[in-house]
Amino acid sequence: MPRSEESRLIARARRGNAEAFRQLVEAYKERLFAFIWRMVRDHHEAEDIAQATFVRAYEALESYSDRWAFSTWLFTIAYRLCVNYLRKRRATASEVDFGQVGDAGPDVTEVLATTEEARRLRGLIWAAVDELTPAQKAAVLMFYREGKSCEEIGRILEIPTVTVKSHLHRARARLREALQSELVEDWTAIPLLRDARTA
Amino acid sequence: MNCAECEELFDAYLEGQLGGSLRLEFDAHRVRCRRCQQTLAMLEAIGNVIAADPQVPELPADFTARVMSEIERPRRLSVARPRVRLVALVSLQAAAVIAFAWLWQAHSARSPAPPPSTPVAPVVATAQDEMRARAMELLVERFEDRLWEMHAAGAKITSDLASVARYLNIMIPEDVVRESVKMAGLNPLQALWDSLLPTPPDEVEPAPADQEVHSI
Repeated sequence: MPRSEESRLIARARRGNAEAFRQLVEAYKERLFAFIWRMVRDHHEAEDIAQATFVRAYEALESYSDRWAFSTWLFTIAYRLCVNYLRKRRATASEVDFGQVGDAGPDVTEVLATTEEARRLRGLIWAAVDELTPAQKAAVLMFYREGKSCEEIGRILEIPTVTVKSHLHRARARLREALQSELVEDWTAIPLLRDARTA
Repeated sequence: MNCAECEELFDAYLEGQLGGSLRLEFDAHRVRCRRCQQTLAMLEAIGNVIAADPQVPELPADFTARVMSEIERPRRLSVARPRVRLVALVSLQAAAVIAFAWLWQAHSARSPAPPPSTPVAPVVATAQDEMRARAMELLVERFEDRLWEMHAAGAKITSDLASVARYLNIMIPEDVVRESVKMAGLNPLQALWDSLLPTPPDEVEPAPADQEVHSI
């Protein structure tokens, strides 16, 4: 959505125009939900958090500043809600079946991969991503999936840019460590992984 | 450049921030170092998988409708918060002042009847009048909507605001008028408001009989 159109919709939504806000929800719901789902790895919780994010955004629309992209603001709200949820979940960990939580799932890598090896590696990568801390995971998802700059990510996570870089560095180190032992003879020769971005 | 130095630049390279002579040295090392090639390829593959993996469950078709039905309740309640209410009141008063000034101007402009012999482009004048009337109508409608929203949210309405509402023929409940609170002391727009109030007829200096009156 062009920035000018987005600004117009935000202005109209601020004046109480529900249809304008509905268009904003339509424009961002998929991206937002994908991010939240990756963070919490629970479909129903992710749906609830996505809904709560939009509701809070609507209530606080007056406080939004167009100095930053609307998506950045939305992701900030979503991230806070995800962290709150993850804290609660950790607090009640003894009551939770962790066999169901954070499981990369057998279907994670099915669509892109056409070879068994590529499918297996995708599963390993996502399993390693799920082992990252919430801040590292959010930084990685924002950087790679949303194409956000380190500065924007800092704004979303409410941390300095240098801390974002540190999170990305540590996340890469952990992912590298998790995959280093894999018996991949040549990482440069895995076309499906290399070309996944354009698939 | 050795492997350790090269590895220190991996982040900058992956974040697209490696340039100049450092990038040339980095590339030169990468070309001849199999180990660094493999590590970078692995990190790039990880990034590509994270960027492109489409395996996210779909949202239900009624997600947007559920969000929209959910936002209705909190929105109404949020207006009742004192700070928001005060800001809303001041904004509404500013709008009222503008509306009043506009109306007063339009009223003044219409008062002197044009001499029948003067051939003033009647089509243009009618079109302008219509536009002005339509704009005024929209302004009043908006003002009325906000007034009712505030009343529904339990906000007090200042006596100034109640006066403007009466002037604009907006129906407001009597209890609202009775309970209206004088907030002039808090209102920075009061001076502007006073200056725009119409002067009582007996204080208006009569215009000279031969002076031509121009409509705005």
